[in-house]
Formats: sequence, structure tokens, C-alpha cells
Amino acid sequence: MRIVAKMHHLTELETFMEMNLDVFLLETPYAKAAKHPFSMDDIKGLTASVHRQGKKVYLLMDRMIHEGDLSGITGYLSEVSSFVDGIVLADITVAIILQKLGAPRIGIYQPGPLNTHHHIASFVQDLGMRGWVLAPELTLSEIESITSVDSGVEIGFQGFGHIEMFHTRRHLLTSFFTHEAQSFDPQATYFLKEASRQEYYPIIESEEGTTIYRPIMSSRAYLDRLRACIDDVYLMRLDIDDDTYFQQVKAYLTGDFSLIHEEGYSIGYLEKMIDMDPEVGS
Amino acid sequence: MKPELLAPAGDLEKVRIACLYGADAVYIGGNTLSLRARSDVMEYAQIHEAVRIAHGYGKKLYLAVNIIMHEADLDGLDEQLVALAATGADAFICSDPYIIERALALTQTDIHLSTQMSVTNSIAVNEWQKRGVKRVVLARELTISEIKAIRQATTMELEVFIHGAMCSGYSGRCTLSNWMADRDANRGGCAHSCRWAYDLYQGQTKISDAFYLGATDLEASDYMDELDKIGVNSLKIEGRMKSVHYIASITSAYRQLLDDRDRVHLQPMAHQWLSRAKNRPTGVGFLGGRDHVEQIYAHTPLGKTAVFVGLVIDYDPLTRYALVEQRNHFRPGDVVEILSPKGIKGSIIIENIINSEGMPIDAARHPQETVSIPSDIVLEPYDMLRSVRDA
Repeated sequence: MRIVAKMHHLTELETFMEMNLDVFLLETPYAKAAKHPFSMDDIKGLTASVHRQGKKVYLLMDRMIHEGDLSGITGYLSEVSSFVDGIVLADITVAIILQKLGAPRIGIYQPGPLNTHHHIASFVQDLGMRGWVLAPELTLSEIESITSVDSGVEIGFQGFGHIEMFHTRRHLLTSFFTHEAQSFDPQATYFLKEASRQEYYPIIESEEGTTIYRPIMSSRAYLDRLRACIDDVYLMRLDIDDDTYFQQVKAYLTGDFSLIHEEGYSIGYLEKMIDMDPEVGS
Repeated sequence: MKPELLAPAGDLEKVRIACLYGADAVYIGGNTLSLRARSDVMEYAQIHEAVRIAHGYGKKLYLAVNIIMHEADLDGLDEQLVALAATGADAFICSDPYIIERALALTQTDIHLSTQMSVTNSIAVNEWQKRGVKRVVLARELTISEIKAIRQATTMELEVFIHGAMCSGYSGRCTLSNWMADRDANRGGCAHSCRWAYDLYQGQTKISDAFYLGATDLEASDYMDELDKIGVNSLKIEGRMKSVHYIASITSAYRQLLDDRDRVHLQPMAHQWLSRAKNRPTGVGFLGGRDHVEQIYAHTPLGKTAVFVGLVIDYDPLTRYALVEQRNHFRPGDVVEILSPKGIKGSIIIENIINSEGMPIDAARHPQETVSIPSDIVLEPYDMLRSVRDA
């Protein structure tokens, strides 16, 4: 099982190298809610360094692709596809373009809640991808059931951090502040809270829309079982301070969580089967 | 060729109403493989009857088979698809790639790709065409110019939503309901958590207790001409769970807009017709571009401008009395507008109400009781009586 961690700055390369990180995940301009996109030159340089250590680089390109993006993203993919190891995508358009470019199998399909059963693997394979990331809403037993079928493609899981639960093309914060005749500070940190729950949901607005995340989840208690069936465990970084994140990455890499404090973290859906067919009230 | 007008229905009565009030095609839930599971689910025999009704009017009937399956849902899929195809439905509206694969392998039924897959560009549209899909229901995040660009880059049939409630997020990818209400949105359980009021914090400081994520409902009557000219194949009305009055009002309004050559002059009236069934603010969504300010649902519900009070069952031209099934309270003296499949027939004053025992009553207050009322306007079965606040 490889640990995939998100890098924010070039200066972090040494830190992650010392940890012996398996996969370096880098934001691109085509990443959703991108706050730390790397330039093409930086990606090239980083990839060369990471490959020298026998490790991998994945690029995050998980935006929904609209008609106006097609030309730019095709050019971008034609350049990066020759040297990175994986491209994490949410829209199959990226995979189709990679196929048309004759790129190697580097696409990794991560469309949020859509990857929920083992037959998706053949769809992924058919689109020329190397892997897929399971829906974060699956229980551990569902994960084990899916992965018990030999699919021939790699399987990932988001095992730590704030996991996305909503993404819109709308600029919700800008709209709100305009409506309230207040000013929106794009540099500030915003959270939502639902009145009856003691939890906070990070909300981020970028040019391409607004994204909302669940509270932090951790799968540390299930690592042994995940190790048996998952190829890539993704450690998400949003709204986690650098030191905490580095400690988590190290712990997931070594399996030593003795110094980790996780009070208030959830286990996501790993043991939570939700209702398929409730009474819908409206 | 004029685009198809596609209306929703949650039961057999709504299928009939949608057909009568101008839909070219109707979509319903396809048994347990449909989103909105349980609430409007139809069993196979009912689906078969829905197909018979629609085909009887010369209309098409599509089945929403658009859940995203989990491992536990896989058993029996093939049998269900074969059984659904045997109902004679004209198309399956699907999201899950495996359902599409199996439906193509096992049935001759056309496949329409659901908006739940959020297709936003022509490359993805053409890929689905290559895979055997007949039509793509485009994502509701597209502007009119994006729809036009996609139309120019594909021969695929394209369907666009024109009216009704919309997901605020990219459809099929939202798990707010899963987290907030333990209900799987992709398996029919959406709890509309995007319409809840949330507290908004900037850092540690609470700055609002009324932050909404949801979008206003869509009303695209101003775009009918453009969508027609672009060459969109189907125009879709949302709302399988809405009332017969809603379906009749909305379908009828868009029917008139589509049919009238002088559409521009009908548009101001269309807003009024559509408002009769509206209870939430509406906007043009992304069709008008990415100006989001008016799209956010952050207001208390509007009062309906019309209340559906009765469905005409029969009319006797000799006595000029109509047999009416009560749907909401009404009484002598009320003024009611008559909506018919051919448009608004006019208004009448309810002079008196006779119950099923032939006795005059002071009000029709019991749901679905059958009463008689006099009407100088000739009524027909499935005409609707509604009291209108702004008439």
C-alpha cells in the first residue's frame, strides 16, 4: 500500500523525502479549489527529483471540464502525460483526452461518490486509466467486497483529512457577501456549521466554484485491513496545519501513531451503512 | 424540427395529465432502480400501464433507472432491466456505467445518460455516443453558449432542463445528504440538505446564521427560442414528485411557448402561467451565464398564486353541470380559473355546489369528494379548477 500525500510548496520536498513518502500529489491549475498549484517547470523539476528516489508523482486535475477548457487542458495533458505517474481526475473527459493523446495509463478516476461497486473497474480500464479511487461513502465491508474482485486496475481510498461532500459551479461566498452588502475576503478561512451538530465544514471558493468538506476523518484504526486491499491511501491536507499534516503522513507511512492526537476525528463511513431507501419527505 | 417537451410523472394520473397537457414524452421512476425511490416508485404492472397510456396518446415514456449502485444492489440487475424493457418503455435514463452496459447488452431500449453524470462538454458527449448512448441530458451548469458549442460538436441527441428545482452542486456528486441525514442522494434519499440554513464562520467568528447553498428553481421560458434554434432535441421539466396541477400548468405553458410562432409575444404571459404553480423563487440558472447572485435560494417560500381546487371528471352540456373531484377547499362565491389542455378557458364564479347525494352544500371541504357545480363554460374531463390570487 502506498501513501499519497499532498505537497504545497517546493520547500517541502526534503521533508517528504526524509519520510520516504511513496507518492507526491501536486495541485495543478485544473485542480478543484486549487490553493497551491504548481507551475509546469516546478512539476517537471519535482518529478525528476522524486523519480530519482524511486517514488511517484500524481497530479490533481479534478475539476469538471467545460467546453472552454478543452483546448487548454489538451495542451496541458500533452505536456505532463509523458513524465508524471498519475493524474487524479473527476471528469472522464481528462481520461478520454489522455487516450486520444496516446498517453500511457496514468489516469486515476476519482469522481467522489460515483465509484461504489466493482464493475466500475472495467469502465476505468476501458477508458485507459491505471486506477480508481473508491467513493468515500463506502463502508469497510463494502470496500473489502469490491476489492475482493481482481479488477486489474489499482484502487485508491481517501483515508485521512477533510473529504469533499459538495461542489458547485456557483460562487456561493461571493453571492452571500454581495447579498449582504459585505465584502468577501478570499484570503480568509470560512466554515459552515449546522445548528444541531458540533462540527464545522470548511468551505472554499475559487474561480471555478465552491467546495464544502466534511470534518476530518481518519482511517488509522483500519489500516491493517485497508493495507490488504487498497493500493493508494490518500491523505488530504485541506485546513490542516503543516506540522499536524507532516506528523500524520509520517504515522501513516510508519504505522506508528503513538504521537498522534486525533480527538474529534471521525471514521467517516467505514462502519456506517446509510439508508438506501428512506421515506423522502419532500 | 421542434424540440421534444419532456414532462415528469410520479403516478399514472400524472402520466395522463402530462400527455393531455402537451408533453411529447413523459418520464417516470423505473422501479427500485430510480432515484426518488419509494416516493414515486411504480411496480412493473404500473409501468406497463404508464407506457400504454403514453403510447395511447402518441407520446413516449422514459424510465429513470438512475441510481448509482452499491455492491448489495447488483444482484438481480439483469432481470430487472429485462423486465423494465418488457414494459415497452421508449428509453432508460441511466447514470451508472454498469447499468448502461448491461441495458445495452440485454435490451433494445434506448439509453439516455442522466444529468446525474454531469456531462459538461462535447468530448464526453461523444464518448457516450460511442458507447451506444442515444441521448445525453446535459449538466445543469451549462451556459447557453456552452450548450451551443456542444451542439455544434456532436450529433448526439441533447436534452436540457428548462424548469423546476435544481441541484445546487454538480448532480450525482453531492453527499451533503449522506453526511447530514444518513440518506444516500445517489440512491433516492436526497434530504435537500443544501436548502437548510447554515451558520457561516469567518475564522472563529460567526458572521451569519442564514447561509444557504441551494439554487433558485429554474425557469427557462425566456430561452425557448434560443434552445429551439440551437437544435436541442429535448426540453425537460423537473418534478416527478410534484402535483398534477403543477405538471399540467408547467407543461401547458411550455407547450404554448413551443407551438406559438410568435413566441416573443407569449413570453410575458408565460411567466404568469408558470407562476400559477410556483412556490419558490425562480431564475434562469446558468443559461444566462455565470452571474450567480440571483441563483441562491435564500428566501422564505413564496405563496402560490393559484390553488388547485378541483379536477373535472365529466360535464353535461344539457344541464351545464360539471362533475368535479375536490382537491382543495372551495365554496360558493369563489372565482375559479379553468386550466385545460388547450390553455386557460376563462373563469367562473361557483354559484352552488351539489354533493353526491344531490344536496347543496356550503363548501367542498373533503379531499377527493365528488361534487357538481354549474358552469356556462363548456368543461371537459381533466380540466382543472383553480382559485387565483392575482387574477
